[in-house]
Amino acid sequence: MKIKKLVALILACALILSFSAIGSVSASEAGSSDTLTWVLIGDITGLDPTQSYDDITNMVTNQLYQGILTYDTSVDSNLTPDIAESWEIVDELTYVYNIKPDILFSDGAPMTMEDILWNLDRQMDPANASLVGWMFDCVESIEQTGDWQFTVKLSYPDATFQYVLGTSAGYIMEKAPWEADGTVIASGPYAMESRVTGSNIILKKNEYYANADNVYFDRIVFNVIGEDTTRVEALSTGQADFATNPPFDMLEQLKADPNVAVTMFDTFGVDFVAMNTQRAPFDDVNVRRAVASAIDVNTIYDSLLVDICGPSSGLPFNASLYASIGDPAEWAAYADAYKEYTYDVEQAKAYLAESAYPDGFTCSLVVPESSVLNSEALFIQATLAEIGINVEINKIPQNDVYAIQMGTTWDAENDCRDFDMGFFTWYADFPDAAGTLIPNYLSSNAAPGGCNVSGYSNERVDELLMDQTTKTTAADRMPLCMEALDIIGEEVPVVIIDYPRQGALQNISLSEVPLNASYMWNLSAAGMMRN
Amino acid sequence: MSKYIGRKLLQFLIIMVITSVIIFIMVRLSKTDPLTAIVGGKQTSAETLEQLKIKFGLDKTFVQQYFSWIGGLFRGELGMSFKYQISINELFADRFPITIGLVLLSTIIALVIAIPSGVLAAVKKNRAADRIISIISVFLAGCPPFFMSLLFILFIARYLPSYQFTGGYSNFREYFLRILAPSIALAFTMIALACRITRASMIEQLNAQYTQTAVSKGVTERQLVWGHNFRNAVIPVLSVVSVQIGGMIAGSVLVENVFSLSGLGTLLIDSIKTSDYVVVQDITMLMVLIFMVISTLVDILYALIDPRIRAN
Repeated sequence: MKIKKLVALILACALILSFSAIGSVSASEAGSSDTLTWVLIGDITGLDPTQSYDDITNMVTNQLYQGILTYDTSVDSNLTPDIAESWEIVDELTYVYNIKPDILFSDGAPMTMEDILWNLDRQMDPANASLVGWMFDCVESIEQTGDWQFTVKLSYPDATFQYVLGTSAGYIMEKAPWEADGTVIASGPYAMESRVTGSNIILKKNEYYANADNVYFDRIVFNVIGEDTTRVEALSTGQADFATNPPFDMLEQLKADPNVAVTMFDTFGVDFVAMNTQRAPFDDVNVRRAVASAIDVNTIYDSLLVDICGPSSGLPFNASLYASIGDPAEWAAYADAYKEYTYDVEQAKAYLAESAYPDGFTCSLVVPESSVLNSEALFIQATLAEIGINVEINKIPQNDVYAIQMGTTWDAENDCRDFDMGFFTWYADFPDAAGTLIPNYLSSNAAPGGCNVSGYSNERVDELLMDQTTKTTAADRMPLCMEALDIIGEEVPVVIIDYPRQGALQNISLSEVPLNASYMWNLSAAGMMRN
Repeated sequence: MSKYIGRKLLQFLIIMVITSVIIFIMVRLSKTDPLTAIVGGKQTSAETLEQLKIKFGLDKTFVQQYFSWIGGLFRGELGMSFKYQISINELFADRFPITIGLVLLSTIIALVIAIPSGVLAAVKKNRAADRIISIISVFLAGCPPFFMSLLFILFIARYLPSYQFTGGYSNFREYFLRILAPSIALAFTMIALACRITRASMIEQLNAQYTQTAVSKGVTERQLVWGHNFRNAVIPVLSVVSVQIGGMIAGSVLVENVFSLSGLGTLLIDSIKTSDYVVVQDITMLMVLIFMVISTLVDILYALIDPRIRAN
């Protein structure tokens, strides 16, 4: 009898709670006027600036931290002061930063020069294994040179250093709480309230933020939703306000949804097929030329990529980076005339005939697990078959693709990366074309840990790329970059397929959010508001 | 009896040690380099990669890494996650309530529905009620939790948009509401299984000689079914369900993913993808531990109930 009563009680409780669930108003505060609900496609790695180097983690850390500098939301992503009041490139080796003296952390404590220098030291200290530590490779010293001033001395000229302190490498947190128990207290528009790993992160408005009047939401709730359908439905029902990384195969559905606004914008990225120039058969330039001539990039773009990418000009960076290394109009003209191996099967056959493999060969094509890339791979497989190249498609997880790209998997016999051809993507960290050219084409980056995935090596290109980093004006850098690109275009280690775009989804209740290619560093909830 | 229990506990220990070695080796068979997953295809330097190796103990030999992990487990330290760079104890504390809640609630839902249905199907054998229950049972058995979860999400989004299917919780009511729908989706397979076993077991009891004797003595049908037959029939059902609970932890992975619940299942999948070795090892060991504890307890209980097992 007792058991029956217990079962009846459980049933009754379950029923009552079930009905209360159906009738209840949402437990979350999504859609409320004072809470912004932001969806992340995965969890963050943490809040430590030394580990804040991906476009999920930075969506959260951008709200917590102010950087020494930041990027504005214009098309050119101009550098602007943030914690700094002003900054100056004194000469090619000396950068001086003047700091605002009245910045407060979210606990009300004033930011000191000690805090600033300690943060920069942490980034450079190898013991912290900072993911952005490499950005300081050219730094010889950072010293306080005034009450509210510090100076960075470089050991060699590097034009891209100007951008470093606009990334998470320039984030500043309060020293004492971190050293006490690892608590992150910073000076951004929001402060940490709570976190449940894998589920949600809640931030509250920082009342001490210098521009607090421009912060309209009292709280931000970041919800981790990995499943595409759930994420889309959350936005559609108003359970979420904002998200990036839309599922591309659901883009049409999203555009048709009256409750969701879709914005696509350019990134600093490039999608390409790399050929391993360090082992046969792709160490033969004519083989690479044959492949480049046989891939119909325009048809791939028109059939598969129109909504989600920009069309290839053949250059390894898109128009959003032209201004960083010269006059955009001159770069546009250069791109139009750039040596591009347009689709021409007869020409491809001619190149192959001149190579050491006139009768063709068999090779593998590494493809990350993605439906769009798989379609591209099938297309390339079919077109290369026309000239006698038999392509075996090898689908592997994205992390394994990264391992090839970074050279952490290695072909010991040939002392090079272990692949023939593969699909890769590269995103420049800075609004500067050098952020694509140096990692992908400088020969020293062909070593493990570097990102020169094709293993491309050319002494003259090395010389030109290094030389352009010593120039502090874009106009001086332009001819050097163009000459390097001329050579790279001739030797064609990679075939540029497209320039990936990023997307933002927002519930229509939210006002338009300014977005540009520097979103990883500057996408901020400050300024976001409801219509 | 104490000798029997001692033998079982020794078996338990040996199996746990062997399993820990197998898990440790298998996790490292993955081609994915954890350092690559941490850096995520972005620019880095050989020095940073080296420092990351030291930070996570990947510079040590396999044997050192194994003993460091096992030693930590005995001290109650589960290690550090490569991805989150925090203690795995913290990760488990965040994730455990969701997985345990899901498994328990879905088990309760399954039993509350399956047992009365199974009993009814047995009592009404080969009649309309039995056939309807059998058809529903077959249908539920064929509903993959992942697919059902997606259907639930689409249904809720359209017809119950105020029901929260994303986000966290701050009190028990919100917690219960968050795990209710996924628990129902997860319960389907167990409902089908438990219902069929209950039916079969009850039919066996209904045909037993003691049932005829009880009927001839004038015991009412209700007393007979619930007071005699059901008590005997429920033992195999509970045996199967207890083993299924371990499987449900694994099955909860997909449901957690669709409902964006941060349980151990999603943590396991994320950790496999990123070669977060120690997290994968810890979760797998936990699953093995749960299976082994249940199995050992059941063995001991059987021995307590049945002297023939002890004698053998």
